[in-house]
Amino acid sequence: MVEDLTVTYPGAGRPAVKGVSLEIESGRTLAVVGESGSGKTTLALALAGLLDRRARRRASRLEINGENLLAARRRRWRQLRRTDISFIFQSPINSWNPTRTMIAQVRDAMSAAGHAGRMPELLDLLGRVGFEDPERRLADLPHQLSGGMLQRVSIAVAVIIEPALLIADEPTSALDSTVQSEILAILAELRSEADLAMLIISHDLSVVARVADDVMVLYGGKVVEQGAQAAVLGSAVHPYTRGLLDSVPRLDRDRKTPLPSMEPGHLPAAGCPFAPRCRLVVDDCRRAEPELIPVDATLAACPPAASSTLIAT
Amino acid sequence: MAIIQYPPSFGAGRLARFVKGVVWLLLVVLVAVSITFALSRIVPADPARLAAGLEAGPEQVERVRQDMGLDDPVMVQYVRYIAGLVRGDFGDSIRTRGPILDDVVEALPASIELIVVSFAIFASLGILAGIIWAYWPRGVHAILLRAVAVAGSAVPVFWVGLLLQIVLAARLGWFPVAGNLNHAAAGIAEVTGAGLLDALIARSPPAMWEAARVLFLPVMTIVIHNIALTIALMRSSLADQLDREYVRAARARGLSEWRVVMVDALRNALNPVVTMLGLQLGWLLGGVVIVEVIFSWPGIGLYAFSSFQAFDYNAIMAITVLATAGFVLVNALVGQIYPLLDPRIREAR
Amino acid sequence: MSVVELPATADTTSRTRKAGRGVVWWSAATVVVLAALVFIPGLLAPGDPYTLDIGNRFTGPQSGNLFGTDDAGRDILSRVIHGARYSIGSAVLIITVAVVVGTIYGSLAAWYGGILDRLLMRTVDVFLAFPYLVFAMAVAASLGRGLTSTIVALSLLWWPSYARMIRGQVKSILNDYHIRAATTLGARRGQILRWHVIPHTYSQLLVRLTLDIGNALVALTGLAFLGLGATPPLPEWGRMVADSKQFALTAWWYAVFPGAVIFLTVLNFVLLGEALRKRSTS
Ligand SMILES: Nc1ncnc2c1ncn2[C@@H]1O[C@H](COP(=O)(O)OP(=O)(O)OP(=O)(O)O)[C@@H](O)[C@H]1O
Ligand code: SF4
Ligand SMILES: [Mg+2]
Repeated sequence: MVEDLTVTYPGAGRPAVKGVSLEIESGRTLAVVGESGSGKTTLALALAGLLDRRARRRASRLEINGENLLAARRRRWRQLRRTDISFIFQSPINSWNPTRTMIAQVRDAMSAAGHAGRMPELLDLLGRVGFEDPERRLADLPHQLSGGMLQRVSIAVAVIIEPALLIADEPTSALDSTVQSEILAILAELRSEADLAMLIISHDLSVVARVADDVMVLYGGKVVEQGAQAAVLGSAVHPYTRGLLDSVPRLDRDRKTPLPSMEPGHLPAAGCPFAPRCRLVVDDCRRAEPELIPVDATLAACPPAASSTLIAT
Repeated sequence: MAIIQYPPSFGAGRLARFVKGVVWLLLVVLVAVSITFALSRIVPADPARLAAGLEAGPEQVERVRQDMGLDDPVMVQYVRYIAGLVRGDFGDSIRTRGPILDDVVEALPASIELIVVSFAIFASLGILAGIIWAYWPRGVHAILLRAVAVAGSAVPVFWVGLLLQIVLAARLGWFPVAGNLNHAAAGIAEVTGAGLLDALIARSPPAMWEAARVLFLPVMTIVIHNIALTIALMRSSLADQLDREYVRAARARGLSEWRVVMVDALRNALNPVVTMLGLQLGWLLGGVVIVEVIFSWPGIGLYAFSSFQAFDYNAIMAITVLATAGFVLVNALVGQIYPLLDPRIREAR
Repeated sequence: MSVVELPATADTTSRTRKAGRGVVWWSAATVVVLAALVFIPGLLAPGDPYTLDIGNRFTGPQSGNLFGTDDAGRDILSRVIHGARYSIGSAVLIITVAVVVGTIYGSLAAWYGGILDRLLMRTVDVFLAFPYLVFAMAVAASLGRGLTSTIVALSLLWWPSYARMIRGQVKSILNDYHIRAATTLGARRGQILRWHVIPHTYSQLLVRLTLDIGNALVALTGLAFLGLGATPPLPEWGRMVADSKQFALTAWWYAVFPGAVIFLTVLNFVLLGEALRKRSTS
């Protein structure tokens, strides 16, 4: 769990992640959604101790398995990544060194984690996640395998250490749709078998609906809405979340309403980050940054929407 | 100079590639010889006049000219020269009046010693410094390395050599001003002609020390200039790799920094550096002439210099041929290193 | 002559960018000064570069002779100033010849493509496979002593790399959309080359030129140091260092000052080229 996490990259005006708090119990899946640049990856990297050395990280609490990691050194983080934290990256082809065979890299990872003797088990697991003929295909170089195959290897290597926290940063967005749903099914199955906490990043709400227990919506580095999956997807309060939901094509509605577009990187210096695009914007929004307040079943950072929802009920 | 793609566009097949490589080598050498030959025949200087000596009368010069075949048509001379080359005959030196090949063989070990030692030092130190700079891009060492990279690439070799000679040898007396190891004085036998190696063979520590001392200044001169490029290229190439996602992914799998940087990233970063080191050897073949002249190092460079001075055209052409062949061969060998570093190339072949 | 191509540094924070602009101004100002040395040395030099004064040989740096005097009692500062014409002038000449020949050659290859392109570029490959410095020495030596042979030798050596670079640029620009647009609009081929293709290659070419003038200067003075260049009494810089060699142990200033001027001049071109590159890429 983390509390009040803020990450700033050098040279950037505003933090990439600002004041984010979250907690994932083991056995549950938290989905983080938000558009490109909203700070999803930065948040995930911070949780695995993988931020760039130049990035500045502040938080009031940062714990995994009850261990306080605020002052953890790089060595400790590395140890954790060998035993307790796994990370699956967005682009399968970029997650592997292009000039070394898969088997060599998988072996490196296994022996780093102290599981050098468990290769047969890994090959089994690979077979189970649909990686056929692992002995032979692993001798290939990354570019000789498909994205789906590579992502299966990433997943197998990630779960074999039985981590306490599994982070998957858009694990399917680089894949085509049939492979996407295969990979999601694998992740869901492995999650249900193992007793781990999972953080999955996505900007695809259908993915979120399939795998998440809880949902967190990021905008401009800030949490704008947070709550149980059904609540956030079903009765969202924050105008951004609602816009996001409305922009998804659905069978029961005949048109989709796209979000008003905005030039990237244009975020207000103060107040609600969503203000320039918001239909409900009032003067107060530009003054103070809205706090997360409980509204219905979710937490939303939007006082105007909150009060109108409360009045309506 | 642009990076030479070597060997240019080769098709499949080991044998085919080898044959093409040999043809390429011969072609390059032939063109180099032809250009030098053509130029040496359109100049006013008269080799026969030089060979005959200053006191020679016109008839004597004429006789020498006939002896040397210089009154034959240029094409005949050219064919004769090429035919000689094919037989491994580089002709006689006008200056030393012996077969050039003998002179070259005698001078070669000293040059090879100088080149090999310098190359080993600047390549390894340069790569190391480049790695450090790329991995820790900030700090005093980075500023220092940047200064070395910029200044080293701009400094004229002959000037560095002279400065080192003036300060470290003449003023401070730490090193000999010039010359090679004196085998007799060091009490060792001359087996290979390369001082360090001979001292090693004789298992004589004092001789080894002396050989190293003699080598120090010329080696340092070459290193100062050449290390600059190695450092700069190694840094940018490795920094580029370290920014890649696979590096982060490897860290995410819990790999140690050593494995991530030195096994995964470094291997990919070395390719352009290796190319450039091969090309730098091309510079070194010429640069060694300057250095040998400054420090009177009795190698092939000093021999070349004396040949230039005496307009000893046979020797000049022999040196061109040998240097060109050596350079092409080295770059062919460098070409063999790529597939080791990047198996995608191996597979593409 | 090594190829000074320092890789552009990755960080482009505002501070380094500002520093980069400073470097450009400083180096450009230095280039102007160097140009003045080349064109009007007589107005700038304190004395005559050729006047012998045997009674005044080997005087160290002092008020009348800031850089000291040489073995013939000539003022080294005046010689250095007058030498700029021979050293820098020749370097610029070499690169100019290389660029002109390389541009024509490379454009022809790119423009016509096909077999002609292959033939022309294979020739370039042959030239690039020479051990450049040795080859330049051999050519300069074969042509006989003198500044002209050195200039010829180095030009002969330098054009192929420009030919290859220009060919690459022209090729990629020919595939560019607005060239195709211009062709459809009925522009003649020559016009296209003149007005669209060539200006596009400028910025990259400028960086390369700047660095190469420095490289040519190093190569030229290096050859002169070996006696393959300017002949006495021309005050060419490399030649001066060469002449100083036999007195290096007694008259240090004779070797130090002309060499330092070469070093600083080349350094200036390296920094300028690097700063220009950074600006063109950012
Ligand atoms: N290494 C870095 N250095 C500087 N700025 C960075 C770096 N990584 C990310 N940023 C900036 O931080 C912000 C958040 O980026 P992040 O990658 O976390 O977004 P994201 O939500 O993952 O987006 P995407 O959906 O495109 O992956 C962006 O504005 C980005 O430009
Ligand atoms: S706080 Fe104001 S600007 Fe922000 S989302 Fe709510 S209504 Fe819109
Ligand atoms: Mg991301």
